[in-house]
Amino acid sequence: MEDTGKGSGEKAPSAENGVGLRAAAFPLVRFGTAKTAATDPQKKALLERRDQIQAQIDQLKFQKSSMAPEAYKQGLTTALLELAKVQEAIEK
Amino acid sequence: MTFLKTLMLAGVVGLLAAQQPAPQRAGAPTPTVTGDARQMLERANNFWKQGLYKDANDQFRALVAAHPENPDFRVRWGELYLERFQPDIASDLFNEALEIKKDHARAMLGLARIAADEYDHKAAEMAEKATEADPKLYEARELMARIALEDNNPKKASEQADMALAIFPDAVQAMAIKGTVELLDAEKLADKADSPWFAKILEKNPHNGEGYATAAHFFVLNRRYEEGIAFYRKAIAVQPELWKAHSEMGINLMRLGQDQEARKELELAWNNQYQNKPTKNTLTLMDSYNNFEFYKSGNAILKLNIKETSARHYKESDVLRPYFEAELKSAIDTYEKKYQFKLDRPVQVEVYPDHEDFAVRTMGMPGLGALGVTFGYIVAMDSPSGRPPGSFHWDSTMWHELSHVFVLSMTKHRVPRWYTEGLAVHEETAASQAPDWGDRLDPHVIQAIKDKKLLPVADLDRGFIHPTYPQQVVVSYYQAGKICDFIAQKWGEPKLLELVKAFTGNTPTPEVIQKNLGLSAEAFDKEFMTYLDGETKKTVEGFDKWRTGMREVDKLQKEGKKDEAIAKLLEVRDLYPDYVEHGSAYEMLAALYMEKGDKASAMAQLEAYSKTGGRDPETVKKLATLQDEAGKKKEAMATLTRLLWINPVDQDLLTRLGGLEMANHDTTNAIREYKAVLAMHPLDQAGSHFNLAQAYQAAGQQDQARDEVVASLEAAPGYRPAQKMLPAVQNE
Repeated sequence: MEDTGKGSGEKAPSAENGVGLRAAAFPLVRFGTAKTAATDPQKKALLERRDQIQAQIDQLKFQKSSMAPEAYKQGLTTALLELAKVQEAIEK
Repeated sequence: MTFLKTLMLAGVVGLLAAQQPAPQRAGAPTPTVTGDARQMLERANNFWKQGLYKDANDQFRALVAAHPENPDFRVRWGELYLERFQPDIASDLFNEALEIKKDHARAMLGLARIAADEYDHKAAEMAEKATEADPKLYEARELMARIALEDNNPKKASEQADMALAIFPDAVQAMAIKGTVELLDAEKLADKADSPWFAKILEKNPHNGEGYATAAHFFVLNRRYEEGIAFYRKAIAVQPELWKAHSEMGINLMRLGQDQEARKELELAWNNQYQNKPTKNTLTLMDSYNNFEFYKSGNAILKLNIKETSARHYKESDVLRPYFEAELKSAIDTYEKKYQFKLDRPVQVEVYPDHEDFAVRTMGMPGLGALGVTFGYIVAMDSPSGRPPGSFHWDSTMWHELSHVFVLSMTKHRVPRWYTEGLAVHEETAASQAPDWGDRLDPHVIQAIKDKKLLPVADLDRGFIHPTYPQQVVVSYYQAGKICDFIAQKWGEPKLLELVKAFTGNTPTPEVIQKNLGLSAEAFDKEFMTYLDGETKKTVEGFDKWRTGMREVDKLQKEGKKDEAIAKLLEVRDLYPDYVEHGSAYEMLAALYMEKGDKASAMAQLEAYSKTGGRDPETVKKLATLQDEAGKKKEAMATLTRLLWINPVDQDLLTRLGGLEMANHDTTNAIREYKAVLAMHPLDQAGSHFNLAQAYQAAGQQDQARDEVVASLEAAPGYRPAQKMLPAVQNE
């Protein structure tokens, strides 16, 4: 998938090439446990939180070039740590 | 502005430049003609003298059209083309002249000159024929003298030069050859920096630099580049408009890494009509130097490519640097101990991913078959990415060239070619202590041994300079290497160093052998052949049977008779065990055993293939897979490590090897391998960063581990293995 409708997909979405990140954020199908989790009210909140963090990470990555490297690294690490915890909780 | 841009903007540069005044050129007798023809010929010669080459060419064309029966005009026209760097057209004209007059001496000489410029062994024969056709043709004697000196036969060179001088006492090239013979053996001269022969040349014409330029050519040919450059400087000092000398000096300055002056000299030559291919190629190559970066470490400098291209989406330097740096250091340390010699300045190793750039870097011309070339303290070589994977062992090549750096420096470049090449071949396996390195006994060498084409040791240099059959250079490398193996075996490794020292004083090979080995050269040849016979007899005698056997195997395979094919392969494999090229018995046996599900036998065959020096990366990887599956992790790791010295530019290899190294607790090398993978911008960024994170964590480098986990998750925030690792590295 790609973001701009140019017609060719992007294999490696990244902040550097600025391509494919939005398209890559679209979930197409939810499989197995993920599907179950989506219907579990307790986990639904966690899934929503995960989506929020992922969007936050995407946002950070888009802003990378305009941020101080240390601030970017710190923001990204914090978000990734939280994402890891949320994912852990989803899988419990 | 770069040279290439200048060239493109000029567009018709050749034509424009051709109308500028010309430098002085060596004259040739004017053919005897009368009337209109004489005037036309004079005009053509005058245009030529003035550097109006297009006009001279037009005159010659008209002259030949008006007098098609006259061979002299064609020869003279051919000489113009030869001087103006178009030997193909010159050759046609000389041959046309010979069709008109089959014993036309100058036409023969012209063809001999073309052959000599290409180091074709037929040149001497052609020059000889020219002297038979015209015994007074002193230039043919001069050419024979040059060829003899190129063959490192100063006695014969001097005799031929004397014969030329007997015909024509002012023969400049003959005097230059006499002077060069003395200079190359300078111990015999009171003033070691010059010879009275050059003073004689200057007495006749104080502005004739051709003699010094000839001396420079021979010093370069003897790999004495700095002295060669010094003679080019002398040539230019007496004849500033000798553009040939400017060009050749520029090329040799470039070889020694003195790029600024090299470019100045080459541009000067180019802008003054000296527009031959080496000048053009070298200037174009120098334009590409900003694609390279230098990395200094201790007494070594690496020059690696940093340009990303459509075929290579990464900086080669990032991948190759750790491997080259480590091996370069190891080789220098080893040679310093082995040769008991400290280099007095850093060695520079230049690695070219484009083989033609390497060829121009070394010869000024593309199409060079070599893999590496040494110029004093500079080594230029192909990059592993510059050749098909498995076709070239870069580390073996580098160790070979570094042996030259030491030996040339120790002998002040006096060592004969056969000995420095032989020792370098010997060191590929001896100094490196890697018996699977170096080259194997190949079919050309077997044929040469069978046909008794090996040269006596006293004449072995000839096999490198003026080969008489297409593969003689390769055969000579093999023979020289085996001679050094023989000396090491019979007299011990220290004897090789003793010989290096013995070659420091320009002593001829037979004398060195007599003095240091206690044998005449002839007796040495005899003993060597007995040794070689013992080493190769089985293969040489079984070669035809092996060829027939391999054809039979092919037939059996096509008929689906697999068991019979295996039996035949087992029979023929040991007739020629060194054959590890494509379609080797080892590979075929391994494939057949795999089809039968006999992995242990397949592995045994591939182990023999790898141990013997088989280099095909995919075959070697198959072996590693079998070893890994059989639980032989250390062996699998060693197998894949071999491939690093053949082709490290391989993500699959590096990832697999890194994994095995991690399993064997070799975190240092695992980190190196995983970093190299990342330098190649793999598609699997998350996995590659995660591998490196794990290696850093295992090595106790927590900060780096955390950075790599974050990098992994930056590429794929939901990548579970990295997510699981992140809290751990964050807290530690």
